[in-house]
Formats: sequence, structure tokens, C-alpha cells
Amino acid sequence: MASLLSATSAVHSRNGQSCLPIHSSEGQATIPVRFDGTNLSIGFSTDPTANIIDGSSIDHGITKAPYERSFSPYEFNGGTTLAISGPDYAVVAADTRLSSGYEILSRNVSKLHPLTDRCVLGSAGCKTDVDQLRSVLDIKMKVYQHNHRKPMATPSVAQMLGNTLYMKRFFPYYSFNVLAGIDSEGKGAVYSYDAIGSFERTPFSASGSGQSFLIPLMDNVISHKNRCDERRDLPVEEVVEIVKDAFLTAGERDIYTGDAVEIKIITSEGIRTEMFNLKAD
Amino acid sequence: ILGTMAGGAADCSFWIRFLRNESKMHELIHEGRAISVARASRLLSSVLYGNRGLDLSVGTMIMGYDKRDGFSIYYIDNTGVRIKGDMFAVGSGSTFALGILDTEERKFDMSEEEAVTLGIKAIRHATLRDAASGGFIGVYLINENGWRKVFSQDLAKAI
Repeated sequence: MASLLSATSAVHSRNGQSCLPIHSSEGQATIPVRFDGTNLSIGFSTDPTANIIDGSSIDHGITKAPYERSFSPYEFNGGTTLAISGPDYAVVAADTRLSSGYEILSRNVSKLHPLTDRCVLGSAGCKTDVDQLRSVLDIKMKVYQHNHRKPMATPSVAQMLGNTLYMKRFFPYYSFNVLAGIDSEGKGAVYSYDAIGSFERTPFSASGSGQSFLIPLMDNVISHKNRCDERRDLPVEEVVEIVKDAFLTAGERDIYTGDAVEIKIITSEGIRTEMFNLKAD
Repeated sequence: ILGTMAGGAADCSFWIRFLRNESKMHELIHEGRAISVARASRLLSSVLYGNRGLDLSVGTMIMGYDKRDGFSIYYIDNTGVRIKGDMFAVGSGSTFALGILDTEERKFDMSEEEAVTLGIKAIRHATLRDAASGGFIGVYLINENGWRKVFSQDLAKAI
């Protein structure tokens, strides 16, 4: 899938020989290439009469030129999550599509996981790492509950998740998390994370493949940036409608986002769930 | 004792938090006696030296006041280096900040206001020139009794 333009920037040196990285579900493979400045074509250095490599085919058999395969333990299963905090509520939403490369594995997989009655974790990334992270968190929360005789407060969950992610600093969980919940004072709280556990409490957070489409929209609508009109507090029903619109946009532009959105609204009364269908294309 | 953080976000937050916990433990073990800046900074630098070669990214300054040494600043980074000094600038924008700091007429008995003003000027120049620096400016002042925040500015709201 490498076009000539991206190929020129993607060529890097490996043992002194120019190599073109090929991306596939098998992980990384590299094929050594030579650029001929006069005719702008890519050809094997050993055989000038060979066909032009278009990069979209992986040769599984024997080739003339040597290339290197490697196993990648990570795979990106797609998906987008979004969380928004309010004065007394938090809304967290994620699409329900699970993909691998260009294939859809399931249209109905949940990316949201309630950790307590007041706290939900949304994660996009590699499904197996996400599932394992959740199991680990569930166990830690159970132990906390047994030791402290109360469920964990949301800021404590946030810190615990950060530490759990950092514990695997040198072989990270491929999981892009957002944590949404109600803090001990009853206010909405949203925390954004990176893959190795750096976190921060933020007014909203989006992660996953569609985050680039959601974040600018949220900056304008929720954080009221680059707007000249008066800012007003948004009620929870309006925020839910905004979330649905946002996922419609992300679903249009991002191939990994679609099928349906699962929306959870967290208030001090509890967690309410809503499903909203998106295009299945 | 204050610590600044530059480099990898997760690495810095985790290891500074580790240092905070160890300092608290020290106080509890030694009956309320506060940890010295030299000791705290060495705790951090030892652990970073031990993790050398694992591609951590941490650039910090540990500073504070104690009775034995007065005011001290220690620069510590992921290579395990720990150096005491009177003035440091750390991070991707440090060269720009140092340009301001080194060309100002520095007296060693600068007043607090002059020092704060100089700090703000240096940081503001770094945010101007360095793509990776910006957002907010925060200035903290440390005296014998502790630290407090003296200046905070959101650069989006500044002119």
C-alpha cells in the first residue's frame, strides 16, 4: 500500500542498504530497494529487469532479494472512545466495531467497562491487551474493596490505572484509555491516558483511531475554543446528542469506526446505557 | 522540596511520585524530620542510574531548603547524572531559556521579584522559540518555610 510519494519518505537504511517497510498483519517486513533517479522507478538492486514493486503484495515464497520478517506482538483492532465531563455527570461513548486490518471481526463488541458504580473505563487499541488490563484492574479493585471495606473512588482508580500501565513500561499494554466517572464531590471527572500511564484530569478526552476527528470538534463545542458567542453550561441530554453527532462524523471518515455507539451516562444515581446505530459500511 | 519534570510524561510522573513517597517514608521513619535535598535527589538519581539503558526519558531539577546546606538545586536526568548548581535550564527549550539567563546582568544577591521576573522572561522566550514548549507558565518561589506558587499564566489568554 505504499505509493511512490510515501515510499520516498519511508525508505530507511538497514545495514547500509535502502529498505522499504511493508506493513501487513504479520508485522513488519522490509524489502531492499534501489531508487533510480532518472526514471523514478523502484527496482531490485540485483535484477534491474524485474517488475516494479508496488508494495501491496507480500511474497510468501522464495524471492531473489533477501528480506526480513519479524513477529509483532501488537495488533490494532480499531475503535474510538470519547468521554465528556459535566458539573454533575460524565458521558462516555465508544463504537462497537472490532476490526483487524481491512476486515471486520465483529460489529457488536463493547469497549466500555464499568469498574465501579460511578466509574467506567473505555479503551481502544489491541483487544487482547485491553481485556487483560481490565482483568488486572478488576482484581486490584476487588482486593482494595476487601482491604478498605468500600469501593474505590474515581481519582484513586485513575491513579491505579496509571500505575498499572507504568508497571509494563518496557512492554506496554497497547491500550488507549479514557476513564470517566463521578468524583467524591459528585462532579464529573474524565481522565486521559497514554499507553504507558501518563494521565491527567481533563474536561473531555477522545482516544483511538477516530480521535483526530473528535478532538477538534470537542475543542470547539465543549471547551468553547475559537468561538465568539457566550459560553453556556450544557445539560446532559444535549451532550449526549453532541456525542452522537460526533460519532456520526468519525464514522464517516474513519474506516475503523462504525456499526453502533454505546453511550454510558454516569451520574451520582448510577450508570445508564444507550445504543445508537451508525452506518455499517 | 520541589521537583520539576521534563522529558517523558509517564516516566516523570511515575518517578517523581516515587520520590514523593520515599520522602514521606523518610519522614515517618525518622520521627518527623524532613528529608534533605541532597538525600532526596540522590534517591532519584540512583534509581535512574539503575534503569540506565532502558530508554527512560527524565530531566528534572530537585530543589529546596535545608538547614545543613541552605538552598540547593540538583539537576538529575535519565543517564543518572546528579549535579548541584545555582542555575539550570532543562528540556527541549532549555537553550533558548539559557540565552536569556546568561545575557542578563546576574547579581548573586538578586531580590525575589527580580529573580521571578527573570524566570518568567526566560520561560516566555523558550515557549516562543521552541515548538514543544508552551501552554502555561508557572513560577514557584522557595524560601526557608517552603514553596508557593507566585505566578501563573495561560499563554492562550496572554496578548
